[in-house]
Formats: sequence, structure tokens, C-alpha cells
Amino acid sequence: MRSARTPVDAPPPDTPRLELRGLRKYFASTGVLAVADVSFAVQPGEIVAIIGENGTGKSTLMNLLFGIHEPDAGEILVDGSPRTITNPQDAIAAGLGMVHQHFELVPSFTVAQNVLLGREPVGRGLYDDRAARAFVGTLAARSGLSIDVSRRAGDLPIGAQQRVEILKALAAEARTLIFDEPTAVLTPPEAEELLVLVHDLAATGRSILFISHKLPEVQAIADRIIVMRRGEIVTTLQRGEADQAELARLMVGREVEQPRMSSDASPQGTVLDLEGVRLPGHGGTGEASLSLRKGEVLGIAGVSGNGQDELIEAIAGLTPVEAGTVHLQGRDITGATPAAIRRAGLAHIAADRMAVGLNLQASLEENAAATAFRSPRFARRGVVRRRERRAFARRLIEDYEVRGSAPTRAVRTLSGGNLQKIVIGRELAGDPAVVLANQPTRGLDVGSIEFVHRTLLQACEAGVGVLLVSTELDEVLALSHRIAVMYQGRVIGPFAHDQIDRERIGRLMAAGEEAA
Amino acid sequence: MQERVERTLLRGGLPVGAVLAALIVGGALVSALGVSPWDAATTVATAGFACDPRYCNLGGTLALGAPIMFCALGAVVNLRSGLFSIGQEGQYALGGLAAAVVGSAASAPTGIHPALCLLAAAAVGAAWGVVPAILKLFLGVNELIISIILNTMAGLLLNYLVNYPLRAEASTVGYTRTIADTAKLPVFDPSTKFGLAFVLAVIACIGVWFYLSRTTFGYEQRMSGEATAFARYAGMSATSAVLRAGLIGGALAGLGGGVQVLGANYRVIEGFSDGTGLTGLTAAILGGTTAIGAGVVGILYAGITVGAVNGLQIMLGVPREIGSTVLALMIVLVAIQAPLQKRIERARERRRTNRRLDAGTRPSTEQAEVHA
Repeated sequence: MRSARTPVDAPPPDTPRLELRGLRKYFASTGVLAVADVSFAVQPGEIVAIIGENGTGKSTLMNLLFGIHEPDAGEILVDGSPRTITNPQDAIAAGLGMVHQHFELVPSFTVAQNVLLGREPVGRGLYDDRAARAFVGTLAARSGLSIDVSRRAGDLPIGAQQRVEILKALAAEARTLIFDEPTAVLTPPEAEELLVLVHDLAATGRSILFISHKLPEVQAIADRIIVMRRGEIVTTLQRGEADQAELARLMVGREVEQPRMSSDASPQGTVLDLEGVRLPGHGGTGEASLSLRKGEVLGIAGVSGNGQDELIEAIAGLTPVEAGTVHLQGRDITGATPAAIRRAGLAHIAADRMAVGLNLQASLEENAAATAFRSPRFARRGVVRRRERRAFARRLIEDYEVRGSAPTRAVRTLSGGNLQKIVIGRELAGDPAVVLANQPTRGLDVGSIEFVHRTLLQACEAGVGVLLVSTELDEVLALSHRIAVMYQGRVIGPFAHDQIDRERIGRLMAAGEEAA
Repeated sequence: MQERVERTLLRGGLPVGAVLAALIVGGALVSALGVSPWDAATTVATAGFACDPRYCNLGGTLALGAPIMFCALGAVVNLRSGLFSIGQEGQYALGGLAAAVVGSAASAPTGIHPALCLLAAAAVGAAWGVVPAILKLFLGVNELIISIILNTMAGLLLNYLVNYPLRAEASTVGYTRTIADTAKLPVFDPSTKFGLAFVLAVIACIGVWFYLSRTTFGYEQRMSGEATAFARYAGMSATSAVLRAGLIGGALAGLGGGVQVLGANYRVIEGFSDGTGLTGLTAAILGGTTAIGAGVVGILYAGITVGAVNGLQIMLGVPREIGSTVLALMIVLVAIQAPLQKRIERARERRRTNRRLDAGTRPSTEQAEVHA
């Protein structure tokens, strides 16, 4: 095996490392032309970023490169010669290495075992662990990755697990590394480390394809930026050719404005009060206490999996509270049923709108009335008032601009943005005192994100208390009057918006406490 | 517009095609036995569905259909609420036994006595039907497996009871006493036993349809069945929805046994649990787990059974099993037609888009947005 730092074979001059010619992919099941005639080339040692909104075909493009889908038309060239890639093995043989958004490691195996999975060193017919550790250790050191190769993958923090994925690709002698949204799961300090590493890998002659929708990191790292929209390349920019606002405009196809909370709001009166709430799965590590005031957005930042979902579900009555109390508008709702808590004035925008926030098999009107189906408005003597329900659904479609739908149509066919509009429309319809918004813009396109943000801020101005949980720090910073951080089941803060900055939040997200 | 017409034709056409294909295979089987398939088909149709002044075959079909329809409705209520119980057979058997006991042991005026018997049938069916629901909810037991076991238990319990404590008189086969005349359901046609039982089954179809699609209880059950996490999140009680499903579904299948005893058999013989409940379950699935569909398929099922027995076996000398084979084939073919339909639609969609691409036009942005 070739070691990592050795410069890879130089192809004939001016031959791109990787070239795509007229790639096209159509998905018949959903009727989406995901990739339409995409052509571009990546030179050795070059970092090319592909940006675009969700659903613009970036991931499909990567799946085509990696043999997970087969293209309907077009060809892929590696070092000037066309390659047929019908499965991931073909892609690896062609020198392509993929660092997935979701890691594919065996948690009980060591780092070395994971890296050499399928090509383990063998001595006297047995697996040779010493040789494996030595090989992976050298590979890691030469590539500038710091990692303990004998630790179990499952025990490593997320950032280190990602480095194992990179090592896997390097061990397979990848000359083109593809990163699919690599910073989505990382804390800000981990993300910065990764960007340095990617830069170093390119300096050794490897080509990098960097897929992202985060504009600052793309601008920091890419030699060239390819902007995609609706399956097509809109434009290609050299480093420094456009600023962030321009990139956003190109990505969305129109001017985008990030709505912000107005800092002169004066929230008064507590509407939601948590005291010493201990969450399941985080017992012993800490208690969550916070109070949310009328007319404010309280943002909770944090790396996903630090108890945010459990916190929201505990307030909504979906998860038992192991200790502590929850008060909503002064009334104790600890341990009450979800229905009773909703009646007491709580609305809840669930993180998973496909499986929790909506019933995709049901019609729009059945979804719209789900949280109030027993109320006199939608039912009389146990019989559904269908005319009322339909009228309500129609108004929701109109008010929230749910294009291309009708009350009796199944919601299954709607886009993510439209689905979220139905959820938010329904949740805000009952005049709630508190809205729990858990990842309200996850997976949405820029236009829908703008809409969701504006709607939440309007509700807040009308006196609703909004508890916003998000792993997107920019979202938390733009919308929140006060910001707290969740770390291992504990709520740190909240801090007033002007008393905390991005760096400090990043430190709290990563370690739960301030560095000395 | 044209696309919509094509899709509707495809959706309606495939089930019909499945039934036709089953009939063709059945025809081949019949001709292998030396009988013309056309004769066989017309004989089944006549014996199952014809009605002339001397003897009304349709009446026999509807009489046989009533208990099947009740069991099918019980299955619909269970399945639509996410309770995958196939315990209709046991509920049917014990419901019938309860009706026979109240019908023979108690005495009441003509109008009241059948009602009391049916009440007992429903109550026993509900009690038997709620067991899988309780075990599923509170102990996490798989309701499918437990309901199969409960069916066997019910059958054995019934055989024991009719052979020992409830045995009418010493004879080779165990059976209960005959019910009092006051407990019998009115019969419109004595030769086929077509009577009030079928009318009650039709009313039950409409009732279940109304319950599931128009009431808040039914809505809660459907939402819990389709998306449990969603139902909980929205403040519905999935627990009570599943309990209700077990109770109502069991009561319906129990009523099936009740009407069979009060309207046709007038007593319960060993082996009363003869597969009627399972036939109902099949009819429910073939009818798309809708109340009306289950009712219609239940009648068709009864008709083909009657046609196979009276027509094929008696008139043409073809074994009645041929009829069962055709029915089984229909189930298989209908089961595969849903995925088949999806495939065909996809292929058509792909062809259309390729044509559009070749013509140089992109799919409209509206469509792309809806699907993104």
C-alpha cells in the first residue's frame, strides 16, 4: 500500500483528475429530474465546492459518482479515461473516496480495524492487529490526522469518527476525496479543524469535492465554487469572485433576506418555567432549568444529541420527566398528557415532520385538525364537522401559501417546505402561549426557511413565547433574544443576545464549559 | 387530464384483471377435468347469484354472506386502527356460543330475546377481541401471534363446552340445545334462511363506515393506526384507540357468530369454528380494509362458495375445492397488483419525461417544487 504523503502519480499535464460530462439522472418514482446535463472537471490538488439548496441534486450527483445510482446519460472520466461505475467498489477502484454525512463505522471495532475493514493485514493465517495499528498509525501521522488508532470507534467524539472515515478513504488510496456536508454534525471548533485538514490533503495533490450549503466555510476553503439549482449548474465562480450575499442570491435565484428579531422588544412575564428537570437518558449528568418569557425567542444551541429532543418532548408530555417541575402559564404541567398540555396553551413544531408532525397518509384537512379534533370547533357530539374542517384547511392553504394542494389531497406529495407550513399553520392556529420549535427549518430550502423564520418572529411579536431548538448556530443567533446552550442534558445559560458571541457559544457546545 | 384518465383506468383495471386471471386459471383447471370452462363459469354464476321463483340461490348467498360480512367488518376495524389481530375466528365462535346459550337458557318476548342474544354475542366477542389489544399495549406481545393462539383456544374451548357442560343429549356429535323460537331472527325465505341477519350485516357496514370516516373516535383510531407517533404528538390517545379497536372489532365478529346461530343454525355444533372468521379477514383485505369494500367482497365470497358447492360439485361433479382454489388465486393476484400498479405507473412516467426531454422542454417548475 502506498503511504499517504507520497505524491500520487502525476497524470499527463492538463488532464483533469475527475471529469463529468453531461451527467443526467431522472427519478421516475417522484418525477424529479435530479441532475440535468452536469459537466465539470476537478484538477489534481484542487478544492471544488458544490453549493445549492436542499433538493438541488448535489447528493444525487455524489451518488452517481459513487455508483449508488446509475446515470441515465453522460460519462465519468478519471485521469482522462472513461470509467463505468455501477457500485461503490468501482468508485473506490477508480480512486474516489467518499466521506459520508452519516458515518459508517463499526462501533465495537478499533480505529485501525475500521480503517482496514476488508483489507486486514494477515500473518500466519490470522488477523495481525499489531501490523494494522502500525500501518494506520503511520498513515494518520503522515496525513496530519491526530487519532488514537487502538481506541474503539464507538467511544470517539463525532469529529474523530469523521477522521476515521477520512482515513478509510486514504487507506483505499483515494486520489479524489468527496465530502458530503461534512460539518453538519460537528461543533464549530471541530469544523475549523476539518477545514484545515481538507486544505492539507489538497496540498498533497489530492482532489477535493466539497459539498455544502454553508457559505462561510465554502468561501474559506474552495478554489472554485460550483452553484447548482434544480439539477443544473447555474454558474462557476473562482475564489473571491462573489461575496456571501451574492452566493446566496445565485443559489436561490433571488434576493434573500435573513429575518432578525427586533432587539427593542421587551418580553415580560414568564410563560414557561422549568425547574431542575432531569431528562431520560441523561440522568445524573445534569438538570435543565430555564424560564421563557412572553414575546421572546429563547434559542437553544447545541450539537445534536445533547438532550434537546428529550427536553422538548418532556415539556410536550411525550417523554416522562424523571425529576423536577414544568410550569406553563403558572400551571404545573409536569406529567400531564400531551392533550392536556396542548389545551393549557402549548404548541409544538416537531423535529421530524414526516413521522411525527404529520400523518403522510392522511389528507391535508385531517392533518390540519389533528391537534384540535375533539374541540367543539371541529366536532359536535362525537361527529366530525367536516365543513368546518375543510374551511379551516382551505384558509390554512391560503394564509400559508401551500401551493399545489387541496384540503382532501394526501399530504404525501407535498415538498418539505409545504409540509412544514401545514405543521406551523396548525400549531399557531390555536392561539398558543408557548411554541416549541424543534429544528423548524431542518432540510428546508432557503425560501421556506425565510418563511418559517418570519412566521415565528410574527408569533413572537404577537406575544407568544418561542422556545427554539436548532443545531444551526446562525439560525439561533438571528432569531433569539436570549441564547442557551445544551450540553449533555444540561441547559447552560441563557445569556442575553448581546452578552454572548459565536466563539463562546462554540466553546460551550464543544465542552459544556468555558476554557480558562 | 388524459394522464388522470389513464391512471384511473389503470387503478380500476388491475383488480379486475386479477380476478379475470384467477378465473382463467380456474377455467384451465376445470377443463383439465373435462368440463367446459364456460359451463363451469355460468354454473357458478347461476348457482351463486341467480334467483328464480322456485329457488333463490342469491338468497342462500346473502344468508351465508351475513356472518362473513360481520367478521370482515371486525377485521377492518382492527386493521385500520393498527391492531393486526386475526382473531375474528375465535371471536366468531364464542360469540355464536354465547348467543346459543342465551337463546336456549333464557326466556324473553319475541322482539327482545334476539336482541339479548346478540348483546351476549357482542359482549363475549368484545371480551375475546380485547385480549390481544391489552397484551399488545401493556406487555408488548405481538397481537398477530396471540390472536392465532386465541383462535385455537376458542375452538377447543367451544368443542369442550358443547361436548360436556352444554351438551344437549347423548349423541355421537356434541351440540347445544336448540334456541327458543322467540330467539330466532326473522327469515324472509325459509328455504335459504335469507333473513334479517343479512339486513343487520348491511346496517353494520354502513355503521362501521360512518364510525371510521365521520366520528372523532374513528378518526382517532385511523390516525393512531396509520402513524402512532403522530397521533401521540397531536394529543390523541393511541392506547384507548387500540383498546376500542379490540372491543369493537371483537364485538362485530362476535355478532357474526350470533347471527349465524340465531338466523340459520339455531344451535352450536362441535366444529362451529369452521373458518368463517378467517374468510371474513380475507374479505376485509381484498376489500381494501374499507367497510363497504369488505361488505361487497364478503357477499362475492359467499356467492362463489355457494356456486362452487351447489353448482360445480352437485351439478357438474367438479370438486368444490376448485372453487376454493380460484378464491385463493384471487387473493394472491390482488395482493401483487398494488406493487405491480406502482411499477407500471413509474415506467409510464419515465417514458413521458423522456419524451418531454427529447422535445426540449423541462418538467414544469411547479411540479419540481411539489416533489422536491
